[in-house]
Amino acid sequence: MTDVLGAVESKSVSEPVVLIVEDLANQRMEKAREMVERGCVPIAVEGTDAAARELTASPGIDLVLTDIHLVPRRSGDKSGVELARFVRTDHPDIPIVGYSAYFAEDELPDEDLELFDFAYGKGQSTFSEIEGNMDRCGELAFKSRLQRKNRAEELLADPPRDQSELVLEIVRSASLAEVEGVEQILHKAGFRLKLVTIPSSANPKPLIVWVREQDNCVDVEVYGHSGLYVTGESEEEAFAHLIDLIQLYWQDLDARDEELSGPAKKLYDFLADLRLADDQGSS
Amino acid sequence: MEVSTREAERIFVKLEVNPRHSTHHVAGVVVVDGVGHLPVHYSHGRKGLHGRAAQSFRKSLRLEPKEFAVLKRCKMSRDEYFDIVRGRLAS
Repeated sequence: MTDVLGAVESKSVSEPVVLIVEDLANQRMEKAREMVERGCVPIAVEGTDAAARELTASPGIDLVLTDIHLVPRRSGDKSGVELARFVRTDHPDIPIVGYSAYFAEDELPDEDLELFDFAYGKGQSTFSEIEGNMDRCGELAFKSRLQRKNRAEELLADPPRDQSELVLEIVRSASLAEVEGVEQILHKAGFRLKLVTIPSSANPKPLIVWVREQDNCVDVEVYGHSGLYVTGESEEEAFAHLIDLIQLYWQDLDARDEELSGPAKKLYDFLADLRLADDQGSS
Repeated sequence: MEVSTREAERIFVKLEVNPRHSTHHVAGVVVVDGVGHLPVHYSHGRKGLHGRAAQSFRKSLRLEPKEFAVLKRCKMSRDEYFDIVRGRLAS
């Protein structure tokens, strides 16, 4: 559990995650390379549907960099503007940069341009102009991550009663990019990160979990502890089962007398730490 | 993959996992050579384990799918299981 919180507590700003939306494969790769050079971690997708999926499943995204003319077969297509409108509505704190080799900036109406933190169009194609725009993207991504980190620290210092906001801030401020592999796969498989607390506690320690809704059940797994998984017919029931499981392991903590090692030690140390926080909160 | 509650119970008995019961779950630790290594649990409702929960149960026992299928069918002895797990814990 301390993986995420530990990242929040550290003073450095971890690598920001940039979602690149570009229909052309070579341009996607080029933009990804440019972002890597600026210390960012790119997630590159080719269309608005994939972008929306990533934004929903990957709360670590710090900047959206999108082509505006994403469907070349449609003359005058402005799918990137529609994506920007979606981001502004559903993820208002994520900055958006738009670009186009099809439109010039003055060909887009103000109401479209206002959706972007900045946008650049055809005509800005010299090496120094491209480098300058990429520099601005990188700076914006780092600024976005730093703002989230600061916000998360404020929230952790004074947690709100409604903890749902907290988890997003924690997760966004921590670097999901630092934990490539399992986490990336989980994002793509539709898992969301949420925060729950043990209800008996007056000062609950945040518990970050993966949630995945399926056709007839909801899977929940504690972040960083794959052994703590449960299923329920609803998210509410799954969380109730999770609390039940944690409390069951807590009982076992007291009764267990043999030495523990490996996964069992890791899990029981985590649960002991969690219970300690719970006891302190209740006292 | 599915694991019925009865199959999970049998696995706990075979591996001599000391079970603890709650409202929804049975949990314990697989003890290898006197040391508790692998935490395992299952839901003791009538529905058993399905999909991801069943896979997680298998992974918690450190078995590959084919090996788990053998264990589930009671075709793997306790010693055979612990030989597999010792190798995995050592690597």
